[in-house]
Amino acid sequence: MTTVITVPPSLDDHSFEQVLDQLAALPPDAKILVDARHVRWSSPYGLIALLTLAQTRTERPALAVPELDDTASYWARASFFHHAESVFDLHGQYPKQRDAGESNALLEITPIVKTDDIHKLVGRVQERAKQIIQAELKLETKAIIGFTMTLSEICQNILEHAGAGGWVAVQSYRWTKRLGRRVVVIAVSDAGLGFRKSLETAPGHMPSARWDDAAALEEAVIRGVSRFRDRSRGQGLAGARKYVGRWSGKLSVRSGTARISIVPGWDDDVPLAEGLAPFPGAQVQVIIPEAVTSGGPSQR
Amino acid sequence: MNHIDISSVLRQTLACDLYSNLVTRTTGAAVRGQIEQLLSESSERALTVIDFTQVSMIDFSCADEVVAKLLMRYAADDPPQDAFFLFRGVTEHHTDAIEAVLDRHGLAL
Repeated sequence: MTTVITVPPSLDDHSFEQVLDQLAALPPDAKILVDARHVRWSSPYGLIALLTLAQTRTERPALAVPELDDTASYWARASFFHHAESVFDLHGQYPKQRDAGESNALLEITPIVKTDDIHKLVGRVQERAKQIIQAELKLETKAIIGFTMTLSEICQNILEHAGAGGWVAVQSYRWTKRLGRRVVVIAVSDAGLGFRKSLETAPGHMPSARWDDAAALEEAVIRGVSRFRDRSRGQGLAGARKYVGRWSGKLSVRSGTARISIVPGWDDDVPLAEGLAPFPGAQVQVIIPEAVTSGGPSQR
Repeated sequence: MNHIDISSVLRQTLACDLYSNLVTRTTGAAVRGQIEQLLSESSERALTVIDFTQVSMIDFSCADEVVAKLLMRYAADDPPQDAFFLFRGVTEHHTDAIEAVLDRHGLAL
């Protein structure tokens, strides 16, 4: 029997939890059809989370593609279908990427499997980042370097800790909820070990009484703890936190059953969400907003 | 005096002319290995210029491997040899990462 998993019409990091809630009661080998026919919009996080979802299934899942032409075209330009073909049985008509038009994404969905992948994507992003971060977000030149560094470090964590490949995508769009400004979003996802299991492999790890996914995220994201005892480690996420703090951005890391966020004033998310539906690996999102021209916090 | 152009070492390490960014810990460790090899082939006590002029950017992981660990090794009680380093061509594209990793180890340029 195939279980239908309904994808909400607007798919982002928060609404993706509705997908996971539907999956929670199903074993990994259950046959599922992910119904994305009525999706109108998806953030980069939503797209790569769908790919990651497929990787977590031991029985190859099916995906019913969006019926709206605009949505299907956007997904094609973002390289979603190109990668989805290898992890989903796709149902419905969808354009090939070459027919969907030129992408305006800063970075289309890109797999992260080896070090060379990071070199390539950093090289691709640099020039486009300059255009988007300076011209569209009106941030200083320094924001561009930090952006590329943050992207590199978050992607590296897949290679160094996940034990499995992952995905990255970067896009800019207008964030309508509360902010009403353009943002650039980095989304990185993998279906690997996750933070808790990764930290448990650290030599001499002694779990506290309250050791769970949330505690592991606090250790890694807030205290900079790594599974490597070398004090050189743990700088990637620390650097990402510093970067989002400097440019009034947001950093979210979801792993297992918890999500931790560095929440800026323009967002109403909670700093720590626990008891979420379980999802393997880690999903990281960085959001950098357009500068406020009247001397607001983004002008540093 | 030795002059080490980091971007040349990077291209040799990756066997690719396309990349000018010092990113990833793996790459950093490999570049540092090449630098240490070059130093071992030079005179016992030498001034070495580490030239970042052609490097577009460096991330924290690479800065840690290329700069911090290099300095720590040669500042240790038992360095492979006496060495003095001059870092050249370090711009705002590099300072955030380099300063952060050195600060973590209680070092400074």
